[in-house]
Amino acid sequence: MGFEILNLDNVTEEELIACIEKNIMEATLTRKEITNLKKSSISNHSKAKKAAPVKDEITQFKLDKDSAKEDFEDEVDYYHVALNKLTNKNLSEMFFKILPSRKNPHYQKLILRLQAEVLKDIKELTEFIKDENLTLREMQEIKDEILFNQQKFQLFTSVLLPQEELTDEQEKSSENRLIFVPTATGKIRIFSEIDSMPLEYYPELSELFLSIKNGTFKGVKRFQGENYGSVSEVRGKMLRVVFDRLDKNSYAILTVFAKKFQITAAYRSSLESIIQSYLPMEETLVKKLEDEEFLTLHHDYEVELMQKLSPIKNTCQPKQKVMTNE
Amino acid sequence: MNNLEIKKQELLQLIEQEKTHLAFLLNVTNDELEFLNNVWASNEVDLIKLASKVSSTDMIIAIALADPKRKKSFSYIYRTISNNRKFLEETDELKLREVLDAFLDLDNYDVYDEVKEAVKPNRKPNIHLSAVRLGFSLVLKLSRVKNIDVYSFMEGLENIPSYIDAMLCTKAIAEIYHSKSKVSEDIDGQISNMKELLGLSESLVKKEFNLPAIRKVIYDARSYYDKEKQNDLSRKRALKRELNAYLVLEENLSNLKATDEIKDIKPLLFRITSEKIRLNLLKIIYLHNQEIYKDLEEQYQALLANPQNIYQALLDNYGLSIAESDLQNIMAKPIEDVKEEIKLLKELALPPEDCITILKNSNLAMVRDILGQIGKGILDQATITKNLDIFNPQSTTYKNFKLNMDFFLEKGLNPRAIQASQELFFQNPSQLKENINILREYCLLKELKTGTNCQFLSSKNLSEAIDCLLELGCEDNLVEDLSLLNYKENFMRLALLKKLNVPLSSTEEIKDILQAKSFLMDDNKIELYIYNAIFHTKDIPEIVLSLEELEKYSKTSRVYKIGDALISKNKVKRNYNQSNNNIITCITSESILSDEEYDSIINALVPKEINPSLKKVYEV
Repeated sequence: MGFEILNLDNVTEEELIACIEKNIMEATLTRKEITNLKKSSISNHSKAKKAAPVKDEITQFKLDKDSAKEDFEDEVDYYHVALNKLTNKNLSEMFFKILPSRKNPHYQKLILRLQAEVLKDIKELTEFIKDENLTLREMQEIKDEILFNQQKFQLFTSVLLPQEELTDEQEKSSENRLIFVPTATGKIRIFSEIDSMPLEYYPELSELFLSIKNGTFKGVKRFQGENYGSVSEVRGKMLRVVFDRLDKNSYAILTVFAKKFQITAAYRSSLESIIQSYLPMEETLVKKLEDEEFLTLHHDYEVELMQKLSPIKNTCQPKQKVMTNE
Repeated sequence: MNNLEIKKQELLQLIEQEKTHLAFLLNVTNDELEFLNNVWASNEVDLIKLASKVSSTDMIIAIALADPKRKKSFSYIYRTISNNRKFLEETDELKLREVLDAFLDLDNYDVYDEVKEAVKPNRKPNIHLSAVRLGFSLVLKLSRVKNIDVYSFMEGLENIPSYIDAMLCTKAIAEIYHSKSKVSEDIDGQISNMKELLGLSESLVKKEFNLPAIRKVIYDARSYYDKEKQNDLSRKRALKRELNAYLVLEENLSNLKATDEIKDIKPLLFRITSEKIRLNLLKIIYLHNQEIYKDLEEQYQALLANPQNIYQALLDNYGLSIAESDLQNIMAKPIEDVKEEIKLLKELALPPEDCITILKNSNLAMVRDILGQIGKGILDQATITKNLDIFNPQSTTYKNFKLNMDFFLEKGLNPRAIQASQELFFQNPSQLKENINILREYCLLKELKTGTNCQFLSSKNLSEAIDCLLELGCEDNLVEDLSLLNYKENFMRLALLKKLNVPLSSTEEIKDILQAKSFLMDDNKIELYIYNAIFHTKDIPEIVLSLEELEKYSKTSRVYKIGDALISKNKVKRNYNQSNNNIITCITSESILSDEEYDSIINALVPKEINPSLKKVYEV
């Protein structure tokens, strides 16, 4: 930075103009520099950094993830309990029946998990044999148990092999039967329960019943506790359908209820009493499965139920008057 | 009085002189224009008619002045033609033609110059006699013509190119208007009347009086006058403007304050034509401004004397607000270095507080070095921004980076190989070094491709992770994609799937399983599902076998196949070298073996017929 100095004795007009203009620019820059130098922004206050508020780490995503994990475990538990009930006598007959339906969205994962559960059983039994001092008889029993589990293990391996697609007819014929548990007065409980529910619940109910029929058992969960036997539920967003397995393809439908009532102690106790009233009649219902008339009646109930829950039905259509002269 | 004041006084004097001169110029008479004003004073619209009202001599002069070819001044033309005023006024056209013919004869006989010399008022004594005789006869002839100044006439003929045409034209007009009283106003009408009067044919009349030509001559003469009038007006206007400019300049100079810088010089120089005045004015402007600049310079130097101001100003320019204590840190570095550092750091778009931190702790060489790593493709901007500590030479980040880079260069390794996991450069160098060596031991270093996520290079127990994959039968997958080693904590998933007889061949499939957020069960519970014979073996046979002898079980460069089990060679070698463990322990430690696999190892290493006493004791 510097201003130009001229000798004015022998200077031309052009030289003077050039020098004056250059010095004017120089003066402008110098003034700017002076302003900058004079500006003082030295401050001793420290800028306090805003601390980020500590947020609760539980996000909705994590909640959803945990909930999905829990549902899967419930499903595993449902099938695993049924698997554990198999014996040597009914293994080949019942094994494929109690497995989840191929239509189950978690089918492969469930199968592998169930197979792993069998592997775990084998492991525990093997370790038991090695680590414990057992009598010969005890040892043999455990060896038989290991062998039985190894058979189950092999059956799982065969399940995972590619299978032939079933025809529609075959699929239809492999569908489960629904048996509707009556009240003490003989009425079918779920019909009155459904009648008292808002119409917007029907699609979800229909989905839950269909999942029992096709073996996918949406959101299935077994009730824990000895008092509940093998009673389980299928679960939607709002609703539950409580059922129990009667035989390889027959399921007793006990009750339906909306989730919001689950937390009420009173309703829980009501559910318990429904189950308690069902358990004694379980054996009777199993025997009745051989009765064609009984099966036809419950088939009709099933048709009536599906019609009731049908979405077409739920639009404003006038009820058909039957058996009148009008 | 200082130089500036002296110059001002000189300038004011010059201005005064110039003003006087301009005032004089404004008032000076223009003789030619005055003459022409008189000639063309009439309001007559018709030019020929107008010309007829002017004296012949004056019209001839006016026509001669308008000639674009003329070289003589107004005064010469006026004087030369006026010398024959009487003759020109009194002669008629016919007589004029006679005179002109006589002069033509002079020229024809080639005695023009001698005759002219002879009639000159102070003629030369020596003149050619014959020429004089011949010329004199002609001169005598001319001298019979009344009132003619022969010499002036001849001068006029020579030096006024349009003299003859002007005379003829004027005389023609006079001739036309001589008959005017007898004929109608209309010129064309005059022709026909003239014809009647003179008994001439129409064509002869038209030829004699070439009216279009005459009109043009008069028109040109008039145009010349109009133009001269206009020029005079413009000249006077310019003079007035210049005079005004000097008045304005005087006022500006008197109003000029010592503290006002003259920034705009053009308005001051406007319309000042005098070079001397312009030069002096510029000198005054220069000197005036210099006084102001002196103060400005002193002020600036005073501020520069305190270096803190310079640094502060530099930081302010870049929006960096700083505490005084921090400024002292930065002032330890040359200002140019600080400026360059700031420019480089600005490219990272860092918040101001981060820039300040770096400026405090770093230096230009280091900033250039670190940012240079971006150009080399070793670090990217995001990594640097997340690890600004690297700019601090005392920081662990920087030290680790240097040590790791040195290690890479020493071993001839390409640092870009871990470009996908640049954070590794800031990790513990000993761990990185150890893991690189481990990869080398397993002949896997060459599989470290640029773009591979190699976070595993910072992990502990890398050997165990490699052994696990090898023994699970995933050697080819590992070679294909070393990033599988990043998922060591999920290898048990593969072990379980192997137990469940789930075939896994593709590396992509294996990676999906390892990367998946969830598996068949919680990862920490997988061990509950997998039986390992090693934990339930009571008596392990004592076998002495060298590593060389084990080579016969070699399946690949990295694994043995002993019985049904795959065993990592490096694991065995490691265990073997560390202690004198039983070879079985060396082989089976850290492996996951079923009873059958374990049996097959024993059977492979200990054939029963060689040492039946080494029968397995763990059989049920």
